[in-house]
Amino acid sequence: MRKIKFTGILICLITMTLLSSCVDERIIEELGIVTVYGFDYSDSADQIDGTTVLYQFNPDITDASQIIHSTGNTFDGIRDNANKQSGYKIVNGQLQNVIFGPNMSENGIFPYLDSIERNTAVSVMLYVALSDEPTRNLLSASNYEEAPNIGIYLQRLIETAVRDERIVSSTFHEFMRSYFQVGKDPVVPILSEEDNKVRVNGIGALQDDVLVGEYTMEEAFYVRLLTDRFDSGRVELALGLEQFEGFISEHANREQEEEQMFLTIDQITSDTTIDLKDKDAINFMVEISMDARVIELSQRINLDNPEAIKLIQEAVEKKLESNLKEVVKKSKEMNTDVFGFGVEYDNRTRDEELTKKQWRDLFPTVEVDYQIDLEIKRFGTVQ
Amino acid sequence: MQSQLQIPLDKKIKAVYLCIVLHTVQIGVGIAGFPRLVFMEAGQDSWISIIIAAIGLHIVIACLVFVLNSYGDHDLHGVLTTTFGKLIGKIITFVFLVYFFFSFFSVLLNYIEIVQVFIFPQMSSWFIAAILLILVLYAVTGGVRAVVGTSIIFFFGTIWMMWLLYEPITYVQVDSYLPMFTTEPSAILAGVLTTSYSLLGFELLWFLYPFIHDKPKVHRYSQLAMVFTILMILIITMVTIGFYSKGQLEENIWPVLSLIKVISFPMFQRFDLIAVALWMIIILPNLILLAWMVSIGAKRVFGWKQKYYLYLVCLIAFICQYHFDSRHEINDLTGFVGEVGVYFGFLFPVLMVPFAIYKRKKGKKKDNAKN
Repeated sequence: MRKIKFTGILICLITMTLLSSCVDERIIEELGIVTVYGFDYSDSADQIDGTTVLYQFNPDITDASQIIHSTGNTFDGIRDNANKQSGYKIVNGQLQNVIFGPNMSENGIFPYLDSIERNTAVSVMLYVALSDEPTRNLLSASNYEEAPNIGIYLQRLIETAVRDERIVSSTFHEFMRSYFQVGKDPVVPILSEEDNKVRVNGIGALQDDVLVGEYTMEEAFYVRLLTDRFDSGRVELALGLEQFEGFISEHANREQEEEQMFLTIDQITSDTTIDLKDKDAINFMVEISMDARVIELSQRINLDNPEAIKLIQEAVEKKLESNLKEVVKKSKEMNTDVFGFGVEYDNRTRDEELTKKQWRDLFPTVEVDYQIDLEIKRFGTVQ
Repeated sequence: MQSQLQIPLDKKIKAVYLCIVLHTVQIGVGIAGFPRLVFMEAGQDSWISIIIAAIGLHIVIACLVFVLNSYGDHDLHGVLTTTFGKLIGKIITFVFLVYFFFSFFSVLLNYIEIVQVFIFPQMSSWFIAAILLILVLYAVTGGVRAVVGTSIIFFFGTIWMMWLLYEPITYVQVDSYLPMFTTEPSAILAGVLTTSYSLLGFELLWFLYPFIHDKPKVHRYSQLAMVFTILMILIITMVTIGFYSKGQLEENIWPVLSLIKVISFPMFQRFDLIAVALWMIIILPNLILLAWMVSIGAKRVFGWKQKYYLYLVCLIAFICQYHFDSRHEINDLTGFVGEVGVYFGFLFPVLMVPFAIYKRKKGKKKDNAKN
């Protein structure tokens, strides 16, 4: 009996070890690992121009970054055509970003994301981004700091912006989530190149998957304020100076009269709730409660006085509100609901299900009221 | 009357193991796709469907254990032959065995498909089937204690994977659960039916019962196993629904496996590959327990040694696996097994209750007559 058991174990072990080599093997030195794809529409060929940035793990290669240009009709077609120009097997397992050029984003980028969704080899944590110039130029930028290649640099660039709460996160999963959700549009970072270096220039406002406008980095703060919560955000505001008359310290006398005072608050923690107040008129109430700390004031204001602090808080609240109104107005003009007002509307109107088209017609008529509650908790080390 | 099964004490198991064994046979390959299926029926109110199905499940388990307790040391075959006579009893048991074989087969096919989609597209089906079947053969030939033992070890080997939900939970958006209570009752019921497919597997108790040492505790522990299964299904479904938006979830065939794709460590950037590989450890107890059921059942119906039926089951599965290789065929087979399973699993124990009551009364009369 014992002998039979032993042979059983032996057979299992032998088959397991011997058969493991039957599996398709991938030797890392023979792979071209794609870190970023850039897509442009090619007018001449009526096809997609793809820029593939490869990374190789071969110790003999000093420059581990390789750029291949190829054309094709589909995502996988481009990969396959790129492979014709490379001695390495091109694999997508470490793909960090996909970037679409301007004439692609005007026509919709979703069809080219299908392959990523289907293919289990690709991570869903990659970033979807747009570029305001052909990606061919963008990806040939030669300054990518200490990163091994441009793809990894771009991933770090976007990730830092997301982690510092400058832009809204747009991983592939989050992009798809918003794309499929009725009453919400995806947001993506927009990259541009300057002095051979890529930077995040703003965030794109999409209608489903078509780019219709752009928010600047300043406006991105307000987009984020409405869609997400802050843990340590920062914002710089210009406040009218005349309302602080009487609190400005004497020693700050200057020759030249200024009309504005700049104030920077950081360590912002915020919590936003969007509430549908009136179903028929589609009136939303946005309630934001924020905590923050003043890190910079361009004028010396006597903060010993509680009145002054109260005044600052009110002024900041008012300024934030007017800026939020501007951003929402801009979105209504572009007709993209990146904030998810439609989701709230759909959830509250129980009888029927909202369709994307209905919300497109309704969104420009939406009215939004704000109630911002800011508490400035600290002022740094000076009063 | 059939003689009761005489099982030596050293081949028996304790009732407390039922907690884990029944749970592992229920949770398997189906859970990877389950949230989508129930969501397609009942939408954001899926949790209601699951809870209703759970109540039904507890009632069915109570019936099942009641029936088994009324007949003494009998398994399914024994119960049926004492009630309906030898021939009819054998035929019904055989039908059950065919159903169990198809469950076994659909688990095998589904896992092969997952491996081919997620990790090794070029790996041929027969190869994966061979590896799994060798392991099944090895475990089942070890007898009932080995079978139960493997499921317990594999259970503890994989239960930690629930922690993998932690990362996806941070992506959950409450919007996905709203508006509540708007789904039509008919849709909720369709969701209940879908849920009951994935709760199947507890029929194992029909065959395991005679092997249990302390029978009075069977009911308690089987109900506990059901609570455990339901909780797990509920948690996984809620996280999945919150993680995806509506259209996105309806597209995704294995939402639970895709959910794990957001987990990334500096050392393991693609943790989902490991999770899919580990899924084998989740489904192996399924295969082992089902293969054990089919082979021991066949032995009870036709006599002969259990071993031979085991070889036969594996051989048939290995050969049939060639004929099912597209998503549609596998989907149809799985759907069919689920639909039939509702009758075998849920309806049958309830139908047996009147016979069990009759049997109890008759038994009492006999006792009285003896006295």
